[in-house]
Amino acid sequence: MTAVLELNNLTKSFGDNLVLDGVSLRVEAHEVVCLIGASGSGKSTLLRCCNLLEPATSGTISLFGVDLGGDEVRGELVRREVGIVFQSFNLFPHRTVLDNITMGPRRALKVSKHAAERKALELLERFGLAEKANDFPDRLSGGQQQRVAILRALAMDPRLLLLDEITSALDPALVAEVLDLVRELAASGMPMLLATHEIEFARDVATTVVFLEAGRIVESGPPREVLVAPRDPRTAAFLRRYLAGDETSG
Amino acid sequence: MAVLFFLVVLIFVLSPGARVFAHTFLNPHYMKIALLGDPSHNITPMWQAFLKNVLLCVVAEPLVLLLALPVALVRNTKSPLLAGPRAALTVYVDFARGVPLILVVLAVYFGFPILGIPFISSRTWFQYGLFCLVFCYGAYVSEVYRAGVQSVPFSQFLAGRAIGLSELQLLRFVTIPQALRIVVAPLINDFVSLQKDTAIIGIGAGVIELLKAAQINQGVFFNDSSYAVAGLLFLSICVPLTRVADRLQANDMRARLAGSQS
Repeated sequence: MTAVLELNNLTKSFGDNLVLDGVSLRVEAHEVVCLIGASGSGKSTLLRCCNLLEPATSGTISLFGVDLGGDEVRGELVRREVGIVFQSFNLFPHRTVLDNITMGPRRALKVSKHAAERKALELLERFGLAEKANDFPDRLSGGQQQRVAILRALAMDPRLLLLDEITSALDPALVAEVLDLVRELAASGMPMLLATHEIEFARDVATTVVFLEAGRIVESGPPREVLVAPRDPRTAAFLRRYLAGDETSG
Repeated sequence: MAVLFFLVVLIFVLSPGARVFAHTFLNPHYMKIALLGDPSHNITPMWQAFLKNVLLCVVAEPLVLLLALPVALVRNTKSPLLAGPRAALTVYVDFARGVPLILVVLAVYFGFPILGIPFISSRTWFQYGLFCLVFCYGAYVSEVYRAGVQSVPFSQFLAGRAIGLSELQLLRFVTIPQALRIVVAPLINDFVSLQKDTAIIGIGAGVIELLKAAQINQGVFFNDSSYAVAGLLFLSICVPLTRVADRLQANDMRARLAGSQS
């Protein structure tokens, strides 16, 4: 079976700075792959390369068996299939919640206004945000904004969802509502590749955990192996540091 | 502030020449004649002359707003394909912002007709005036637009691309609407300024617009009150305009903060 996403020996450098150094990984259907690693390990860059928001320097990316490397592949077409949600929400401040969600389907996919709005309202209803439809983003809490951002990506009917540390900018009290939404998506079978600092969450929801350090994959495997009994000392050191920090901050 | 204003007024009122000043510059009798005209002297009423300024400004402003946008957008691109137009527009903006409007007016009104080019050399004073204003203000306004577009955070571009928008859609639905909100106040500022600069057109154009009407009045009655009338007429447009700008911004803010109550 062809993988949803397959990266082969991907590298990315900004000038002299090598951010990704030969990353290979697969996301299979219904899989949730969690990228963990310190800040600056290349997680965000990796995600942005996957939907061509950043052009990779070398290596191949294929989506459902289609190589995205050719010059004729247009980024905007790829991004209509692969949704991404950012750490800082990035909702459109000049548009209402409803307009934020319908903009992609209406403008990029040419869905009618009526159909796009009906679908957006369904999504808002399903995730408990229906009464916020006509609000502007700055009236919403961080957790609500991030949930709207996820719905904005979902409204495009993506075949793969990329989540870039979507709870890092949130108040600790608001993290749960966002993670619950992601859990629900995972349960519904949406393939996802996500960068996260929430180790607990990764243990819960991931089918595969990938530990990145300095742009390389150090270790990957099921969460009960990588997170519970890591083989590589660097992974173990990261987890120890993380858990120590978590206890002091929690 | 109020105290300061009061002091300034006081200095004027108590100055030794206050009476002569008021008689020369603020004489109600001559102000009325200047504004409404005087049939016995066959002088154009200033309110009529002012219509020319208003018309010039009302036609020039939309043209400025329209033509400055592509200038700003092209100047903001990075594509090597547009390097030529970009360089040309940079020269234009530098030139048009650097040369005083009055010199452009003189060059156009006295230069274009003697060039002997079929279309260009035979335009009306109004068309030349439009050209001067649009030429100079287009450069200013394009810079305002450019700053507006640049002040839209990069994360908004990412968000727009992330939902599959093309570059043109990104401009139309994400960048330009947000940039316009940011630039409303500076744009109105330039509009007010353009409105006042229509007075400069009269220096080149052989028509009686507001400033020239004021000069004629002054020459006939040997009284400067017509200049005060000119000032008041400009104020009568500019002050409401700035109020409208403030109102627009306040409304926009209120609409965004009151979304849930509707």
